[in-house]
Amino acid sequence: MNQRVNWVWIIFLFLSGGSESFGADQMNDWIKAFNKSHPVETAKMRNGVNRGEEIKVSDFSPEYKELLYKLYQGYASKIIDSKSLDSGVTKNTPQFEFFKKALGKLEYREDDVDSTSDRVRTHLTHLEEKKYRLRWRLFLNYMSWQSQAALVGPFETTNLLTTNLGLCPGFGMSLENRFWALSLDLSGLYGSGGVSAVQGLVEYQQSQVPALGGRFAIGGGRIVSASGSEVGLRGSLLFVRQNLTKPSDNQYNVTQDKILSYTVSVFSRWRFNRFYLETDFGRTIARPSTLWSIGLGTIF
Amino acid sequence: MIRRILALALLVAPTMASAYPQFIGHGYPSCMNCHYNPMGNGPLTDYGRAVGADGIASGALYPKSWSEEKIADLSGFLFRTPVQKHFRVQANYRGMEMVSSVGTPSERWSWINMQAGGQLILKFLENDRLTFVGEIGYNPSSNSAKATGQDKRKLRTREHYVGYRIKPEVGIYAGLMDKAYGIRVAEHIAFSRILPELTQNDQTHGVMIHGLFDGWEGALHGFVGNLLQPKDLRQVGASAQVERQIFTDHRLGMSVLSSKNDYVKMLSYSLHTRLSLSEGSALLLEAGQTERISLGTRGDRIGRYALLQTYTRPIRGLYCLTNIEYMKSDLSSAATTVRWGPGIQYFPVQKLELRTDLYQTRTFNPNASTQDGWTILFQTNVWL
Repeated sequence: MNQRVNWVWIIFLFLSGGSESFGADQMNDWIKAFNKSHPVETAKMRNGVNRGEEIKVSDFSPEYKELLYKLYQGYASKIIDSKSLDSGVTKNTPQFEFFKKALGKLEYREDDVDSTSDRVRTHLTHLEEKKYRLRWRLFLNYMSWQSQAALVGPFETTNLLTTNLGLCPGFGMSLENRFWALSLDLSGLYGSGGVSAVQGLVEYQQSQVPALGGRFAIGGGRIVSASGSEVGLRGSLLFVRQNLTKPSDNQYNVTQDKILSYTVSVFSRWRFNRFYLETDFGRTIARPSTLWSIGLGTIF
Repeated sequence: MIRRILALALLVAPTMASAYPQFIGHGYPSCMNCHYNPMGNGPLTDYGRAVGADGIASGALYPKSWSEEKIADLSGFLFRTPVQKHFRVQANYRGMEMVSSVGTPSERWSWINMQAGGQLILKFLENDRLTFVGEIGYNPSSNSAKATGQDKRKLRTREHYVGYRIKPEVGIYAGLMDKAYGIRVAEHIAFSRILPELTQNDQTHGVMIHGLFDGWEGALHGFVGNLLQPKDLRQVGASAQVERQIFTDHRLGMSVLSSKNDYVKMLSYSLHTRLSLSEGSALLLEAGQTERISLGTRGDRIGRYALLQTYTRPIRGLYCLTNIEYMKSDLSSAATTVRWGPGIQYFPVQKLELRTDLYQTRTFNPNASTQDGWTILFQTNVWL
């Protein structure tokens, strides 16, 4: 008679929970059965899992083992259905681990248990990777950019070109997960450049003209490797003050680019633990000018 | 001078070698994994071709039902699995649309057939310890040669050698090969290849000993110049390159090269590193100096260069790269050149590489500010 009841239980459990998805009512029924219908077995199992006491596999009935397996699958299903690392995952993970250990002690359906465990671990890793974190950065970039000017004379205008090099110390913040990053960077700029005429008959040449300014950048990138290599696009607002000397001849005047310019650039970042190397290559909007930079930074 | 070197480099014969040291980012620190030549370049081994098919090229265009094994099985010559082990034939074509002086009145578009060649490999003994490798291909004429009617030789061999691995760790190679020096990047127009004269036609006849021991890899190369060249032009000398594996996946190395012909004596030395940043991401860095002592009337010159090549792989088959190069071709001159080259390299299927490079060249000279130079390259590389 008892044997027949056991088989009825097993058939019921198979029929009631054969799929990967489990309803709340089913889970409640199983939890109730786990706590109330098998008090002795459950107590032994709790001691076995929580206190590390030895258990005898023969002390546990087949329907009880199947019940544990269904509960294990039920908690696995709840975790796998979670879209983020919310309290649901936090709440269900200890139960999942309990039933995994219990089934391990019973050596019951080991391949299925391992396979489900792998799926849960993969899903938890994925959720962990999807979680956005805020990171702060300090960096020092070496930047080069060109700017235009014009020497306006009484009869003709001569185009001037300045080629600059400068250092940009700054800080930034990134909101990032394993796949994507959104970053804001703010840096100062100190550099200098040489200017000369690129077209026209009038000669004009200056070297080491100081440049002072700053850069504000916002960018989005794709993180393409586990080490954190990132490639992305960035928009920048560049502020540069660089005063070219007026010629002593009062008939000539120097007109310069506006001190504010906008650039769009492609950047890449390679991480070495807390440090990173960054390159940036971009074009100034509405002006024929290219900007590039290379730098080192630290993440904290 | 700098502009002349750049113009020559870009216009004469922009053939590219097929060496991809950045694949350290896929866990291949040694070129020997995939090439018959242990220092890289030239024909691929069966394993290298399979890696190209399975690990490098995109799998997106294959039917979903195809396994990686099936794709790898197609990596042999003409998509066939080799039925014998001693004889291999390979063929490749590389062509390029080059847009020079972009955005200027002298902008020019031109298609260049860079390379169309065949390779023959004979291999014997256990683990292919004895190999014979030969390559012959189309030799594009330089613009200056076309203009003067010289350089009528349309076929050229850039590699033919015999190699014997005395034991797995040590091999000896004799014949025409590239000199063992620095990072053998694919871009022969890289400053790190131009200054030490290691470009597309600078192979030399010689004997090279290659060793691979417990985290160390290196080669010692003695050479007598390219025997197909006039004797007075042949650079005779020796070079050495050694790399040390550091922090499991990375390499740190140094090189030295000394040679002379009737007109010039050269000494080059460099330090380099190749860093693997997992899943195809890699950084290559090389810095070096070349001393060029004239044995004739022209003056001596010391030049300095640096190369930073960066790679990321957003998806399988696609690589975003940046070439950042520095050159001061003559330390006594005030001018320095920085070339910045973002690019995209795409392997849509095995045996096909598509690549686009943008090169921006900026000259820093305290006495004159000049407009940037721009060049765009669209390359196609097919191998069978």
